[in-house]
Amino acid sequence: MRGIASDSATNALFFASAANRIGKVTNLTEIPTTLRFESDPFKVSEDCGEATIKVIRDGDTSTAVSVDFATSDSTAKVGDNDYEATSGQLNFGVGVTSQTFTVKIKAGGGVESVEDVRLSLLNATGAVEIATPSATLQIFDSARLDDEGFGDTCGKVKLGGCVLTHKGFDPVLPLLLLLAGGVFAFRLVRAKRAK
Amino acid sequence: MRSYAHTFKSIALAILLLAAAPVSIAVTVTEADITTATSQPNGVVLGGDGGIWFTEEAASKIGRVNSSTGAVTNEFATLTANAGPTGIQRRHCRIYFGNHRQ
Repeated sequence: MRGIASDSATNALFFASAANRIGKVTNLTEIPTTLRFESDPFKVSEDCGEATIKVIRDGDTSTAVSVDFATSDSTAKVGDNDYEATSGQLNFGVGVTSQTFTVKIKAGGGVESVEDVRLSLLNATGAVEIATPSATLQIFDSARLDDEGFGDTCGKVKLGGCVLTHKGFDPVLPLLLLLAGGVFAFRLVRAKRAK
Repeated sequence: MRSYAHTFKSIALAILLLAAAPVSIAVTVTEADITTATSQPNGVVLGGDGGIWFTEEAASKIGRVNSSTGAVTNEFATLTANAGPTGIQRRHCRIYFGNHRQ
């Protein structure tokens, strides 16, 4: 084995190289590499069927890393038929900056207002640390969406990757029907005049 | 002196320098050619004189590098020809080396 020596005065390492050279290593800089949940909390309506949970990898992506994920009961319970427990592993290949997993939501669970599922990241492998080991998935009773202050533009809201149509009056469909009827009537009149 | 610098990420160096801590690192590496061809550099030691000293096993020489510039500044032949110096140490402001062949 060839030699290596450190020099605190220049904050450098020196090494003997088989290529007939003496090498110098300087500017040692740590590149933080972390995994985190994209949001906290994630929000989903009980009508969506599933919630998509995104995990972000920040920093250096030059190596492959992985992390385990799992759900656990908080105020939402598997036993109450609110959601399906899930767990697994997310693998981040070289250059991959995000991965997702899904949590099945059970519409018949009878969610009261808002109920929470705990999301966990654990057992990271490779050159990476877990920045946010836990987050919350909030399951909303769809009737309470307006009360929670979510946006309501053109009659639709988007939550947790699921687009919902409000149960209230949606003006889009009637307007389309009116327009189609107008075009039909115009063509009918013009056809009669042509005769 | 032929010298070049480039930055790269090295897991091997991360393991070497940070004892497998879960982080990646970036370093700058420069290399300087040794004047004597195929000298087979081996042991390296901090000299305490602003230089880094090293053995040249195949050339039977002791070399010195300027620790600030990284350039090879001196080469000294061992008194014994074909000595094949390998290990090198510093003690009380002196440099000691062991000969592999003689």
